[in-house]
Amino acid sequence: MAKDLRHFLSELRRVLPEDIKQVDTIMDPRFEISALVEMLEERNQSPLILFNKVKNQKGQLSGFQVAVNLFATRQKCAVALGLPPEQWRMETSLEFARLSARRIKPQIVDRKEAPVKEVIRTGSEVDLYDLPVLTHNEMDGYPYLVDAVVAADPETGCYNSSHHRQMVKGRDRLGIYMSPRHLWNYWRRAADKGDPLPIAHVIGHHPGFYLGTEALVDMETDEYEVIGGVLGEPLRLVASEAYGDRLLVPADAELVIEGEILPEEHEAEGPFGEFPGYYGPQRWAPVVKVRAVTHRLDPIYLNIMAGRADHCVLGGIPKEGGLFELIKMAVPTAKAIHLPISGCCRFSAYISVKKMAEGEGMVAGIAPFPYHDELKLVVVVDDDVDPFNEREVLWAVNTRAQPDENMQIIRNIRGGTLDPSAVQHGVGSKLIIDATRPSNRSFAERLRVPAEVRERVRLDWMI
Amino acid sequence: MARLFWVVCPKCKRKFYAATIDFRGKDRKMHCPFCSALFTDKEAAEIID
Repeated sequence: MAKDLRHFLSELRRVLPEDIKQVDTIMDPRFEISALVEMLEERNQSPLILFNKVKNQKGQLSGFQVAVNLFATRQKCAVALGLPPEQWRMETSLEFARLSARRIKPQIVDRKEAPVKEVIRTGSEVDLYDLPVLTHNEMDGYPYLVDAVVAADPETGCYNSSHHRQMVKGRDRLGIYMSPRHLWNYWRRAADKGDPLPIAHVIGHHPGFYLGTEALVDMETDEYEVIGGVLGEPLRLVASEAYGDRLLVPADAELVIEGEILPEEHEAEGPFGEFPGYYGPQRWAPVVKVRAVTHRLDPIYLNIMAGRADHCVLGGIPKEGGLFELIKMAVPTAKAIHLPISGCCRFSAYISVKKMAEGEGMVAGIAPFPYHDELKLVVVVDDDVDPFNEREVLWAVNTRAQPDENMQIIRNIRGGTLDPSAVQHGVGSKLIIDATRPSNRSFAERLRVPAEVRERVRLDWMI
Repeated sequence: MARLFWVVCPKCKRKFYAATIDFRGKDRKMHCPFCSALFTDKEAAEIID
């Protein structure tokens, strides 16, 4: 049986049953699901939640379950990659790096074998208002699709998969915001010839599909093959309804929305709550004409909670493994890297090293910047400090670093496009803090109790 | 983040923001996320750059 969302939910119920909650109350997709997730995050809780009864945009029961917070904890992502949940730290990042480096070609199946074709709506039957699309935050104003968008290169046929916000503007009309990266490049090349770019929105697949979508690869790499590598099996594809073999879509998704980015039409889109926890401003963005909606019977609508832990962790884990490999080229004794949720899993990195010589801390700190524009703050710590424990990292900064000796600022360098503090769009500065102990002079010893006593003493002596 | 300006909707008077490069002096219609009104920067109740 192919890996899909249902396969993952059943695996999660087996290994992390306490991390799945269900809600039977009828939910309005406008703000109510976001409110519940926000209230849970305030209590440091991010379980996967299945909402069993959710209204559509017409106020009727949609017939879809809605699943959120699939990526909101590293433990769930570890399970998605085939690891036990206890291996949620560096093991998860390295496993992602290993899996995403593999290429497994997709398998094309007949429509009869594709669960996503159990219900097909085309032409005048298409109505996005039938779906439980969430309105996430107050200034969003409109419902937004936030899962992966797939497209074939208009010249080579190479597939890209990437996450984009898409505003529901009408029964068959979306606004799509694209940074000038791969999908934007596909669309511009099609538009320059006056052609629309066929795309499909893929909602509700195995989490490996979405983690694979976040892999750092060049534009010539077929991302269906990368996703296959992450899943550990060929991604099953099927011809789309509107574009046939010109656009192959995942056969095991819960829901696929097919459409085309129009070559020249633009309209206002946004604001929309983005991963840094702020609204991105309203933009002048291309328009998508929707041609078909296909889904399973009793479908599950998977929603990534924009601007919340779900969104942050999904983007962080795929970067950690790749950056770690690059850091190790510069400092072979690097031990781990963590993009903490306090930095939205994008802006900050904590790196641990077993320092062998003076200056290595700063080398490890500089190494990731050219490969991850959004990174602003890197803290390098010794290998006695756990980079996944933020309290320990900040303790090291406070006790092992001096601002005039161990911190460096790099100015006027490419930065993140969604950083609200940037004075110049896409340009910023970086801060490196080398919080490793000096190796060229005597330094204070960290306090600890004798190891043999720790082994003898047991927590369950307490009553 | 793209440079932004706050704008007050001429219909519902609620405030939101938009990218300066996309809408200031461009005669393009913004839409209000609260009431769906369409208006240009010249038609806004107030602009705060």
